[in-house]
Amino acid sequence: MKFQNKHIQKFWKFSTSFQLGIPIIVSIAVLIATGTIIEAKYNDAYAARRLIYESWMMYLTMGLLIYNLTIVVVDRWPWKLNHYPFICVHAGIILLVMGGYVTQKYGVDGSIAVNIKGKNNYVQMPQTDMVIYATFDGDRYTKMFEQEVDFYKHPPTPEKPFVIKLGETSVNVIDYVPYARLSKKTVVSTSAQAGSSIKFQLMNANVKQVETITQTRKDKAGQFNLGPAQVTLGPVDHKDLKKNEIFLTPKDNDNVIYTVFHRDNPKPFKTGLMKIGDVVSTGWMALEFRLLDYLPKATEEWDVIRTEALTPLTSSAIQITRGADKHWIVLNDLLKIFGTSEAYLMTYQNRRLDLGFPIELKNFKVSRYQGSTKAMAYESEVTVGTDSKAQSATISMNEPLKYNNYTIYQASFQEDEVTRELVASIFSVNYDPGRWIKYLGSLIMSFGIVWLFYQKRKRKTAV
Amino acid sequence: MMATLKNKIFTSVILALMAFSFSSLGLAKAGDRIRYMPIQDSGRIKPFDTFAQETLEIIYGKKTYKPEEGAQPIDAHWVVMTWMLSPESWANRPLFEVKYHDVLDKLGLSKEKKYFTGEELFRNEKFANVMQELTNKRETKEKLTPYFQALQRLENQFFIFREIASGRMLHVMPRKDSPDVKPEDKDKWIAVADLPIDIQPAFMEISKNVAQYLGAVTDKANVEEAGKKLDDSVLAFQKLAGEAAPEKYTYTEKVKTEVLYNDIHPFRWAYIFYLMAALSLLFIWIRRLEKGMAIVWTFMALGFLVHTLGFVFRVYLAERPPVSNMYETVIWVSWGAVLFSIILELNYRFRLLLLGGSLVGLFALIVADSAPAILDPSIQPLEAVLRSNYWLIVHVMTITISYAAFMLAFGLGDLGLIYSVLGEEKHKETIQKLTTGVYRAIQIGVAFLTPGIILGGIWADYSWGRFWGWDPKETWALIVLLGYIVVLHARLVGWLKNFGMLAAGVVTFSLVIMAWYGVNFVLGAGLHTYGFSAGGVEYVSVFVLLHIVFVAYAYFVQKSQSSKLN
Repeated sequence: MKFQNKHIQKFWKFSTSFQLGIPIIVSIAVLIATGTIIEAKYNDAYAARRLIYESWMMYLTMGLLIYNLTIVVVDRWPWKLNHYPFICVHAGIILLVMGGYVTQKYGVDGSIAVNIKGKNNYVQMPQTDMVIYATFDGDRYTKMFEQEVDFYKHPPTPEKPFVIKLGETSVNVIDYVPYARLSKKTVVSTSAQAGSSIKFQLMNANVKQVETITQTRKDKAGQFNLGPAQVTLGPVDHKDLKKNEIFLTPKDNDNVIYTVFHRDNPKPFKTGLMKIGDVVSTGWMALEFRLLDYLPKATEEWDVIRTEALTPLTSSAIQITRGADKHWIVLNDLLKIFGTSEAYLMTYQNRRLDLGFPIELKNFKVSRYQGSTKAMAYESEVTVGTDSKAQSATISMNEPLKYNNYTIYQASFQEDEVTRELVASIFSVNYDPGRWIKYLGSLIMSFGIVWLFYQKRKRKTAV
Repeated sequence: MMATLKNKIFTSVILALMAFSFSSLGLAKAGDRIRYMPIQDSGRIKPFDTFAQETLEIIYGKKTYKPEEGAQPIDAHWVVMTWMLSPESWANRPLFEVKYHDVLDKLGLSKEKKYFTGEELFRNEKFANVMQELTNKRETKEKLTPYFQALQRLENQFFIFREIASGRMLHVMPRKDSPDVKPEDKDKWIAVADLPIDIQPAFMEISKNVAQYLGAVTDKANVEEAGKKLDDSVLAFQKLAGEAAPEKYTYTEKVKTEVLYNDIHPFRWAYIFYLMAALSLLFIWIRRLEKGMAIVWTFMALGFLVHTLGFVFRVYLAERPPVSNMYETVIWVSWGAVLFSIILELNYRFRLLLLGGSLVGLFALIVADSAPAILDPSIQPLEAVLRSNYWLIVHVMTITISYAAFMLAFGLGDLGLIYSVLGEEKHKETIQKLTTGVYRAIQIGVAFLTPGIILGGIWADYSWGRFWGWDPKETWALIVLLGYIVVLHARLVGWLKNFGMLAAGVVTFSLVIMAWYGVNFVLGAGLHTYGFSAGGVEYVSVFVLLHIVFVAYAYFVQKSQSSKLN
């Protein structure tokens, strides 16, 4: 192609040249290499995606690449037969990149965990939302706030908090920890609606167990289940559970009322007052109940330790302030805080997408290589959809299921940490509207490469 | 004076090695049957020979045991057998390799030594501390650093030390199907320690005969007869063991082939032949002889044949394409590099192309052979993700074969740079030929890598629903492709002259090393890193750095040469 205008011609020439093309390719290489290093550093593919692969730098270089490739192809106009292999290769790359963009923009790539013998129709997506509900009577909740938040890319700080207005008050998000190791702790609360907390020990010759129970709200029972026995913090509400029970009902700032029941007996075995340090023998398996700590007003809070990289034990968390109170909210967990007459339920959560049909997991199996613990295959027996559109299938690695435009793949599984029993199967659920563009691009490019190599034999090469 | 039976066994073992060190080429002789006994281990059935070699490799780092400097090595199967029969006789032998200095520090052991006794390591009061440290680290579920990987090996050594001695590690007999057997134990073979009462005497017989045989070897008396007796007892045991569940005891042929594979050691022969090919070719080249290429071709063909044979062995034994770990890909890539050099040589008749091919093949095979702790040569069952899908063959083999072409370009580039340093004007023609080789090899590489990456995308789309997921392994394969595409385009428009092309062949290969080795061993992230791999980083970095320095040196020499000419 040729242009009359000298400057346009010069710019066009530059656009088709390797002076532009090679720096673009090198920048892409450097960018994505950085991406892999980031992924290794944080052990987190999401970090690399957010910081590099879906960043403006990536979009810019990819845009320039498309521009360069397009100009190079257009520049050959009018095309002759010997141009076609060249055009195929470059047009194929354009299509591949565009297909990738369509996938990223309009596709779905989430995961769904289904318990064995359970069902689920919500896919967990990577986007995160902040949602706040409020209640005045403790039963009915109204959604006060919902917004997509990207704390990974734009972490809030005490100086630059993320502010959420709730009527007269406001909640500020002041910190974001991408990789947090978590533990629970009980802290004293000043709120009138806060519940109580006890720390106790159950012991006999064989057992010595220390546990904490914290009520989520005043007068709302909190429980700890030991199998044949149960400890409840709250008002006495004895239903015949076929197990031994002890109720601890907060009385005042120092005392709790204990009520011990024996199984199969509707009448209390004994009852009385106890203070910190007191011991009551329960009469079950010679177990003694010792009250180690009692906080009349307390809430449970997360304790957050910042770590450098993602591990299976870390989660991301945000810290919020409301007035003088500070709280941590862990990703996909609930935080409940109390106002004077109202209570708020806050979540920082991954977006959940309703598939429109349930996935029911009938069975999940792991087969192993002979005589070893090494897994050979993972198989999930599922039924998807309902009624007449229901479809049963076995999903295993490399054998996905296609249903309603979605493809469901075996991705992972969960097992009980102690018993190692299989608990749930995790699928990745995928909808990819850019797929056909990428396949078309691959086809055209591959065709072009073969043609190009065939053609090169016939003409003088750079050899 | 107080020479116990155990000590006797040990001395006899030392002497036995002399007899057995000759047993190289599968000439089955008396006393050898025990090596063919099928064992269930790590999810497959293997001969006792392989089991013993792999076990010794984990604890000692080598396939044979050398009691002291200059002494003849003892075969792994005698080490493992006598260790099970009389663990005490091994308790004070330095049998455990510990190389990591921080670990030795923690245990308070000398860093001068490389091998330690079980007493020194496991009766050490600090041993429990370091094991606790490892447990704590594991609980954090963080990635293990090299120090903790070294501790992990120590733990593994301890486990093997204990389990071999107790007879719980050697699974020798399939389980009969019966309602009493728990379903998860159905396919588990029975260990020596748990053999049914009626079978036990048959194994005792083997133990007795092993002792007698090794004694006979020491005394150099009735060796043949004792060997025969041992063989008979092994056969008698196998007959009994097989009767319990004959359908699960059908590995005789495979096991035989595997022992043969262990004995032949095909890849070692392959590099010996490549070495001879390279040396004879160098001689012919330097002397500028017209004749003699027939010899080179013969060596090259022999090497390639044995190389292929070794590959076929592994395909047969593992029942899958052997490209699932670093060791196997090094073997496969060097095979490809040799193949491409042969094809290019047949096309161009430059001779030098063959030299490049034999040198890289030789180098890669020696590396594969000399670092078993890093490049694990044992045959392992496939990870679940990789299984039952022909995409593995198609995608992994195409991508790695492109690395073969790039490796050839790298070797040829190195040769070309050497000539360039020796005098660019003087060796103009040779340099031109090598440049052609580099260019062609890179073209071949790109022609395989591009479809390889696309096939990888199609496989990933099929199994995970992601055509492209920015996984580090696939990303680095793309970086390699981009790198070589830049080289090809730069050549096409004349930015790279001959020297530039040779240098590019060498420098760009660093990207291949990163994609191939670095992602698994340095980055250790993503979907493609199955299990732990570590080690060798310092050697590989030095290798890459030396080449970059060499290219820079060649560049300055070439610069000064051309300025003198002007």
